[in-house]
Amino acid sequence: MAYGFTGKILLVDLTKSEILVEMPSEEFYRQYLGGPGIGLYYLLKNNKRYIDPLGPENTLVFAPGLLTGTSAPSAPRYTVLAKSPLTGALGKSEAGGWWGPELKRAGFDAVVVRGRAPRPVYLWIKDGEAEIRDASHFWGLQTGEVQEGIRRELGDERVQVAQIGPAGEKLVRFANICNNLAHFNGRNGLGAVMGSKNLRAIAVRGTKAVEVKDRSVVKEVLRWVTEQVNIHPLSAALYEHGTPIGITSNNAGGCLPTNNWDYGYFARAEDIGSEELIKNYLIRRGNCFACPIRCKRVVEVKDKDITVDSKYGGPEYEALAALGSNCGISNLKLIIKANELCNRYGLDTISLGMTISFAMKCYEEGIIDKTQTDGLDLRFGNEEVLLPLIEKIANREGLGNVLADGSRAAAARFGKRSEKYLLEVKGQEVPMHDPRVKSGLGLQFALAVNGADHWFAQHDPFFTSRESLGVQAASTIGLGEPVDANDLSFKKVRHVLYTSYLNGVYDMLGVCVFGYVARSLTPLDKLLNLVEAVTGWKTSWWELLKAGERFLAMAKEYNVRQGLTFSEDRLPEKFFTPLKGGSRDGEPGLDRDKFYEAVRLFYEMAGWEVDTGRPAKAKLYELGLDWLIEI
Amino acid sequence: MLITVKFHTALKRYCPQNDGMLQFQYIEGLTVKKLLEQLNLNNGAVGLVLVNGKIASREIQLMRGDYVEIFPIFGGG
Ligand code: SF4
Repeated sequence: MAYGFTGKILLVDLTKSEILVEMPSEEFYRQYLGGPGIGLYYLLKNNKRYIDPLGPENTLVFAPGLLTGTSAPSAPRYTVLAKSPLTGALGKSEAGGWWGPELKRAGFDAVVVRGRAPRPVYLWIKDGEAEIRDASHFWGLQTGEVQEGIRRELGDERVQVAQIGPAGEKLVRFANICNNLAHFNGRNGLGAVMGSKNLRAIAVRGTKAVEVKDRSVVKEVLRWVTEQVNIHPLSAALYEHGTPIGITSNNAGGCLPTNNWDYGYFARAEDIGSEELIKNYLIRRGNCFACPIRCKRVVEVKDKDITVDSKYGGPEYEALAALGSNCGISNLKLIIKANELCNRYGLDTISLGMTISFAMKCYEEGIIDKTQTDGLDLRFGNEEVLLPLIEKIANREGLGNVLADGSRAAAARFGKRSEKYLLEVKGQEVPMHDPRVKSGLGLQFALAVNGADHWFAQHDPFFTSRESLGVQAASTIGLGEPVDANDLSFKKVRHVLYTSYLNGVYDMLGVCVFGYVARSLTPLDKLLNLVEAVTGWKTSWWELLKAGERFLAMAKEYNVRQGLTFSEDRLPEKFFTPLKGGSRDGEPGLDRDKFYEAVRLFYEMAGWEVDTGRPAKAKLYELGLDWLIEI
Repeated sequence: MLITVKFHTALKRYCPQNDGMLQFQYIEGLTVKKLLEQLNLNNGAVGLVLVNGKIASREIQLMRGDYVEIFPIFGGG
């Protein structure tokens, strides 16, 4: 009897129109748990070297975590993996919402998609059965229409739909995948991979509860979380303000990305902050499956000039900063509309905002002019251009067709040394967090296997003093010593290393970073209780962290096989220059030499080889990954 | 002279006054750390502290008339 997992993996070949089910052993689950562990197993088994990310040979995996679908609190996540068309490295992106739990309830631990359908299709999975269905009539429609259409066609309002929008169909390299219209596998352009396969959606309905060994423990933890949610300072703040709280906090700290990161201070930050959002546009707080925290924003606008439909959710901090301060735009209503438009078309708001701000910078520096911008005046702060640019990018029209390949590709097109205004790692635009105020975040950006990623490891501010919640919460896994936010010594490297394993475990279990320590309330011992109660295994943090390490080693090996090297683990030059504006004006950036020394040390601590970029043979043996050793 | 404390966003719930502003008598030897302790805010909830608009460490000594702003901890979007 399987507990926590269903024991079945769905294998779909769209070229051959073939559907198979694989049933791995329990040992397999104990090694790879779920999410990116299972996903990478199939990617490494199936994928040859140097594949075309938009070719039929790119394997695409949807994999919920081990706890997903049970009533373990805040564990709704699933990971989508494939080779990324934006970075050429591993593409890996998590989403919460409702789709992952539904897939488990439908009887599958993962869906592995290969090949390319000859015409638009969607996959329909219900209670252990799957079929490929025609989606020609949905092609070109916005996400809202397609979700409604699929539910109507299948005659069930409770069908969960993971899908791309028109941007994914058009192979925009930062197209995302959404579920329930408001939860996103946002990063790495995995929507374009779906588009390249002519796969518009995966619709799922499951009516069987996921088997759990000891239901009473799970219930007890859920009860505890529900009780604490309003008391614990972090979860209470997440409920009340959501992630948009970061706008005013970061601005006060002189590190709110403004005008393509030229400044860390935006004079009109309060206009786009969480308090304005709550006061004027918030209609309720949303959540994911079995999560008492409810950190999601649901907004609505019904004005003459702008309407925003609440079914598309609401903006997170990342979207407010990327499309707002980063583009010099302070009109909150417009940003909310831009966010909604991204959700209708299926675009990642971070890469989108960063690609637009890059074009704005190039325009202001005279690298491009109106003959290249379809006549648009791309000055920072010009509100008129935001919505038209989103439409152009989603439809690949004019300048939009250039920007749709991401900022790095746009720089190659613009030429004139425009690449100095880029802020990307491995081709992925950086999220809205400044490494100059937290060095570990810089290491995350540089080292993340999937390009600049802000959840590769935990964030420095939660670990800086004895009172820090992270220090208190993570002492049992060797992180009980405070480390300064700007430290770049071995202590910081170890910290990033250990918490990269921890975040790997979170993804493999499907738990949300906003539900568990250090960013939120549920502690590590309770998470361990949950894993044991759900699976019936006797396990430990040692075993779990080893699984996190295993995931990371697999990801690293995958990247090497796609041609990535040590030299790609770098940061944009901007982060080695002083901050400008606000309370940190003139403070120095990261020390370049110390930073790259720390990157190197990370490799050594992780057991990775600097010259080849891959995990050392001994490390692969240690992690039970001997099947990855090539003679 | 009084010390003024402004609680921002999520920290307002820790302020006895509804508007998030608090004034109290200066005490000799008061540091940012001690101030946060007095306000029951040594619980990890505070990220940034500004004193008269400048970033202040927890060890900084407060002076009469200081304007202290406290912001919730943030990271990870
Ligand atoms: S904390 Fe927020 S994002 Fe995470 S599971 Fe709960 S509602 Fe979803």
